[in-house]
Amino acid sequence: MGPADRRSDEELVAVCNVGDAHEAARAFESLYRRHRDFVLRVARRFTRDRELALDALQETFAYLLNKFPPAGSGLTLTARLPTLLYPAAKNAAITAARKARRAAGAGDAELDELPAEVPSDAEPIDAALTALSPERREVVTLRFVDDLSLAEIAVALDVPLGTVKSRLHLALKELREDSRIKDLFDP
Amino acid sequence: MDPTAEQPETLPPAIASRLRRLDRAEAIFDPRSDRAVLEAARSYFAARPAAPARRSRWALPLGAAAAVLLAAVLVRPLVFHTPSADDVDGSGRVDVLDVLALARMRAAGGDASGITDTRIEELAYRIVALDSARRAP
Repeated sequence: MGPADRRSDEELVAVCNVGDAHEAARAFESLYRRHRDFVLRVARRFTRDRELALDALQETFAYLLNKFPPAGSGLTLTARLPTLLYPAAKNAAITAARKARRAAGAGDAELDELPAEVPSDAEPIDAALTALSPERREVVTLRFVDDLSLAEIAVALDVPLGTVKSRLHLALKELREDSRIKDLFDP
Repeated sequence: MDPTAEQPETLPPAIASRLRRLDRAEAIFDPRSDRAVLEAARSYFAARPAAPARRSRWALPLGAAAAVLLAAVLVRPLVFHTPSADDVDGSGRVDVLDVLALARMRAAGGDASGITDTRIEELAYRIVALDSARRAP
């Protein structure tokens, strides 16, 4: 693998839209390498399974590939690429998890929510984080792990900006009031 | 406090750091995924017709030839059913996901899979032809 591509996502997307085969494939590879870990993180959040997350990763980039001509009409970025990749990765992960559960004879309960991972010996921080509702934890994760702005989170989740602000505010309030980690907020 | 007002919402470093550690992706990364995705992309873009050249005195005759070709492509799906062998992922439709499925099988099995670059590229070409036919007015 060579040095990181210095072109912006917008420039790479433009090459994927109209570049020749070699240029477009190289631009797509740069997009893939730049956003792979983000997509994989998102997929893992919703599957909690390595193989399913890897399947979702591939499905997500196939979805992106399909946006470019000739199958797609071309892509114009109106927001950062992660806001487009997030819902695609989330849906691919949920679909993969649902298929796996059906194959195992289990139901579909709550697969569209961010599953909590609570080990029995969970640290206080883990316990407090997993106690958040899936919607609030999703916003906290997008903000503080994925570094998306509030406006970008609104686009990624397809909800109003006010909803994002409200969820984040209430999540932080809940964490601040959690007796297990209260001292971390007021050292 | 008005939750919709602009405000810097922050998380204590210890909590943010713990959240990031819980969410690491590196541990599950698999290079076979890279190969499958990038091979599907190469085949897909290789199957794409070149961008139209500058208009020349050949534009009209070439346009007429293209129209004849397009008509042939439009008629073809009506005459021939989509070959089921191309529906690699068994989804009931032939699309770029089948190219990915084939590339994935090759990435997993290597040469022993019996899947060649040519086969993947041929499938990508057929998908591009099908898509062009679907999109034609």
